[in-house]
Amino acid sequence: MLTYTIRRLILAVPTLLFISLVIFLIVKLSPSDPTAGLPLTIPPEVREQIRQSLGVNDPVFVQYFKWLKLMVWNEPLHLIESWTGWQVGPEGPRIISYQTRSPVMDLIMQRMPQTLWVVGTSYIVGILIAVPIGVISAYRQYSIFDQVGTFISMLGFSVPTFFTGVLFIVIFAVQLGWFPSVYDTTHVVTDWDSFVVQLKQIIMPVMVLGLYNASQISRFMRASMLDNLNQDYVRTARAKGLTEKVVVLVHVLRNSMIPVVTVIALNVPSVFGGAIITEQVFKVNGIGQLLIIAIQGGDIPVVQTVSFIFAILIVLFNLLADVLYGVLDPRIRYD
Amino acid sequence: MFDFDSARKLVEVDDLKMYFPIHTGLLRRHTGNVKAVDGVSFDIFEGETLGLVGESGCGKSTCGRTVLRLYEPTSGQIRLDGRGLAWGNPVARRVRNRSDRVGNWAAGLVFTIGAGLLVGALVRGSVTGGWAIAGLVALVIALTLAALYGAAYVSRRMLMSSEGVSDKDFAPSEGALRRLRPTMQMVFQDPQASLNPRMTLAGIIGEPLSEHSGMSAKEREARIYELMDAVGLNRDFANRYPHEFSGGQRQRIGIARALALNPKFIVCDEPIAALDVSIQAQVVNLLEDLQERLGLTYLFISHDLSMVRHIADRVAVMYLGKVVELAPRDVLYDEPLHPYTRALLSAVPEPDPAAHETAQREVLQGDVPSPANPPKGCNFCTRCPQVMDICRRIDPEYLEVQPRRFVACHLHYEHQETAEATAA
Repeated sequence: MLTYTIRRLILAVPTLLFISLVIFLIVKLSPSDPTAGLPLTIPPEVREQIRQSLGVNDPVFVQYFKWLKLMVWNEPLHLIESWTGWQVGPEGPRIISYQTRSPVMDLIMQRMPQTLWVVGTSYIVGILIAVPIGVISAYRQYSIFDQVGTFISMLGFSVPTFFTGVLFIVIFAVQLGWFPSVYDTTHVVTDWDSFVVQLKQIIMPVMVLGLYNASQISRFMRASMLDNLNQDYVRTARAKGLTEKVVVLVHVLRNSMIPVVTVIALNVPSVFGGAIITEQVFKVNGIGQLLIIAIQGGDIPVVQTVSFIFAILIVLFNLLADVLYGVLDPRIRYD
Repeated sequence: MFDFDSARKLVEVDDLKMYFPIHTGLLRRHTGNVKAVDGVSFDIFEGETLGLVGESGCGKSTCGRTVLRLYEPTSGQIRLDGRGLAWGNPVARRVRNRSDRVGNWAAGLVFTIGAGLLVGALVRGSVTGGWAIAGLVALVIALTLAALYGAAYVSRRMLMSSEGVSDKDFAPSEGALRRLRPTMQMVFQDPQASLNPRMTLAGIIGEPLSEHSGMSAKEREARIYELMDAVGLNRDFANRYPHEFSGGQRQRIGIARALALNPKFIVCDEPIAALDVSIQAQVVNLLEDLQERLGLTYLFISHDLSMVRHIADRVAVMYLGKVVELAPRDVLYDEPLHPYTRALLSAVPEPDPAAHETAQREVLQGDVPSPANPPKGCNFCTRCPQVMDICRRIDPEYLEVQPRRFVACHLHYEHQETAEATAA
């Protein structure tokens, strides 16, 4: 298993290099100008100087290798320094955002907690809702519970989050006035009352995203349970005289969780990526919003770096999913 | 040869029926039944092996599973060691359904009234304070549960006395059935699929022990090793997973698991069908050996007629959900009474090539009819070489035509007219 993991990690390096190049070229080829968002009163020759100072006029590959060097060498060292306090920080520049003129990593670190908090909670809530629903739907296949569950998950599946988000705002924030429509990231929980405020403002984004995640995972859970419920070993378990609870929750569920856990692991990078649209709808200033603003402003270093970090996470969690498969299913060996 | 006269009946099956409903159409309406087992009766004596043979899809496996109550039978009685495993009679089943319904209604009524009173009191404001409300809610729930079980119990007692049903006629509850499981076990056909892929061998064999016996971990381990020795598995394998074994070894695991709780009765559902011929003999010898040592009773389901001849004391032949013939092994193989049995036996390959060339084979024409739509009269009338007019009209009764020889065929009734008269 260890050799397999190491081999996969080494193989990931060329993959990631290729991904970074593709991202870079796509972003570069798009006709965006980092000075376009600046006031129109700035004369053209000043604009040209600004472009010059940003290095936009260099050949594309020069720009790419400059970025790559900063990304794989300078930034990790800075990260280590800021975490441990060791003086390993290299001399030289960092990846700087065109828009804010601050290091991109600092921007990401500022926005990461909000995204993890909101989107991560919704993911966990989604899983917690989805697993029992999937188990019961499969155990009572074609029952009313199953039909209703299928209907709701189809709904959650097919209705996009920008629609459910706005719908929730109209119903619960505007009409009923139960919850605020905007997620206030500066809110600090200090006592019970502020906790209630936090709970109220997080409910809507979590429910919108949780509905979407839950409908996906509950489908997987149901299908996987149905697969296993008809297996011979379930009959063996019943013949052993185990209670129905043990048969379903120990024998069937444990075997059904194998594919579901991998699906859950594969979707984790999307948590870090933030639900771009949902963050916009509820005004959560997380990574997703950062990416949108950067795309709009032609802020190539931010777009490039954020997408590259997503790529790393996706590759890593793919590997994690494969390793988990091997851990959970004794029939799979990687040696 | 098995001594039938002094033997005691361990398993009694009477008119067992197992129908699987067919749902079709947009609304999935109940439009028919697959009559997998359609009125099967037989007894198994303590210590004997009853072979159950027949072609694929005739209901052998379903019959074995239903006898062990892995399915809920449609009707019929099963008794193991004198204890009923299914509904003693249809009246008892009706009594149970009606009394359960009474319980549900009573509980619904009590809950509605209680919840209504509670809500009314809350709205009027005569109840305040968290503890008072919580207490009243608990009271309503308790009363509802009491009504659910109390009303069901009282109405069941009343119905039982009025309908003349006794406690013995009721099928065991799920819990009671579970506690009976140690006495009856099953060895499954597919040794790979019937073992949980995520459990180790020790886990598979030990699970019934921790469920049904109050053994300590140490005693359990000792018992697991004892069972592994009994079926000839190396003790070092205890922590391996099923996929790491060969087919024969897996079937040994299945047998060890079935033996774990010292059962009296084991249904062997084609235990050798998925195995290599060289391994088949090993497993069958193991089963015979264990029977001798532990005094087990087997229902041995197989389509391998030579193997059944080797292991069984008596043989039952099934065709399309019914037992057509049941007789002691030797007489059945030497002188089959039912035309289907004759055809089946003539299909057994002859090991001697010379005899093989000259063997007189009785080849049946046509296909097995669908168990969802069996023919009128005798089930075998569409393919029987000796079919008579009466066969197409009247289903032959399953009768003891000679001592210990049961057959369901009009050819063997001494008084065909009487049979016709009774059936009509």
